[in-house]
Amino acid sequence: MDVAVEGRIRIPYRWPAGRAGGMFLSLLASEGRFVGSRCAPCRRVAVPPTSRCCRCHVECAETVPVGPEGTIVTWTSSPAGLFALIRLDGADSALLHRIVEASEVRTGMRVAAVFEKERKGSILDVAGFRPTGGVR
Amino acid sequence: MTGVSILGAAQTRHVGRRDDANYMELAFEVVEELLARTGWTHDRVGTVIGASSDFWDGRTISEIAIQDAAGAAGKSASKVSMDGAFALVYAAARIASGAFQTCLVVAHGKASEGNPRKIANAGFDPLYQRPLGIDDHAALGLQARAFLEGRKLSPSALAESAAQSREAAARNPNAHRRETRHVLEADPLHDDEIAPDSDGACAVLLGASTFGGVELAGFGCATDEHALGARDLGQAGVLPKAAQEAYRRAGLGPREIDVAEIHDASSAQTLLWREGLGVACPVNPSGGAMGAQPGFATGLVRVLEAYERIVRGEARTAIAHGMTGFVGQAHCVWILRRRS
Repeated sequence: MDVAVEGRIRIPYRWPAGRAGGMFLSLLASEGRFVGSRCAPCRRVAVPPTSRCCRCHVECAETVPVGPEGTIVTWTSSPAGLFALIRLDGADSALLHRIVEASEVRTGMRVAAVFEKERKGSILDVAGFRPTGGVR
Repeated sequence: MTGVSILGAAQTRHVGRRDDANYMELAFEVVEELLARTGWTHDRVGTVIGASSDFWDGRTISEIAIQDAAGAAGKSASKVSMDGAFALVYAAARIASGAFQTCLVVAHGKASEGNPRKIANAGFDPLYQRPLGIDDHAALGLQARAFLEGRKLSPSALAESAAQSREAAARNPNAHRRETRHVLEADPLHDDEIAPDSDGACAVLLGASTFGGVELAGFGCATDEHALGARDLGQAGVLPKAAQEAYRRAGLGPREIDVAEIHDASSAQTLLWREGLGVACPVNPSGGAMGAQPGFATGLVRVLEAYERIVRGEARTAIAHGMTGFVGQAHCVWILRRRS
């Protein structure tokens, strides 16, 4: 007889966002805006920001405003949701997020962040990105 | 030249659900078969490396359960929490260092025990990606679209590639037989264009080249940034770098490879990784990962398939490719060569 024991693992965690991440998430919450970090040697703007450039390994001292609009780089619709990689205006890396309020999605579509009214310092302070009607 | 050879290998049949065996028993199956085939015994095997994922197994330090099966008692045993192809690097290094003459590598995957999509979600960073609900299939969809649009290919390229893998897998008695309906799963990928979640295991015995066997001529590994948005998903990423290292170490070029077994989690990856390896030879005559994807055993099964082609005299040189992380964050490329 095949016997299987059923179980479920539930363990609470608390993940400090770190210096750069804390700034990113707190600005999302308090001001409803996005920032990235610029690496002085390679000029690359990373979003979410990092305290050090992952490629040059130097401290990213410069914080630059990015978004709140951007362009869809690629997207998918799956049972887990409607996701896109969005290159926010002024950023080099793309941000993963959900697409909302869209009747259709295309790569190259311009989108804008939809902020939650009550924000607490989480990537979910942004409900998603909605198409603005433009295309790049 | 690594000075290390493959002396034997064994795999289970891969299926969607093995309720008759726990994962330790899967490991026993492949280890016992390998020893029976090769005539080696546990007391002659020097050291053991496992490849397992705590998240997949639902317990921490999950390789403890396979160490008994691998004959690790009294030996130096270690693990990697990456695909078994990467565990082979660790194993080969133990032999190349001169500390050991032989090493048994055991990898398993038992997707049916948990919820593969939720487990995949837990693999994303908890600050920016995981809370959005992203999983491995959605990441594969993002990559497949970037790949198609970047090359101006029609989605039919994904279906054609998947059909080729299916035909090859149909000839492989160990491949995972599954029902698919060709419905969109992670647009533009359909369910049959994504590798299955399989239960299975694989074991490979490595030894110093003085024992003979099939030569591990070279390897190359490379890891990319984790965040999906930091990479160009439409390209092969760091795979060409890993491949170039492997070619350089083996002293071979991509045109000198007779067959390639690649870890393709989607039919887009079958095309993309082939391009990244730069090979023109037949790819995945076993059906590849599209034919069976038993967790961290998937890349090690590629090594086994490449090894067996050489043993059977169907190839003189072969590539085996393993992958860990989402949509090819880390790649491991092995080049196998028949001893002359």
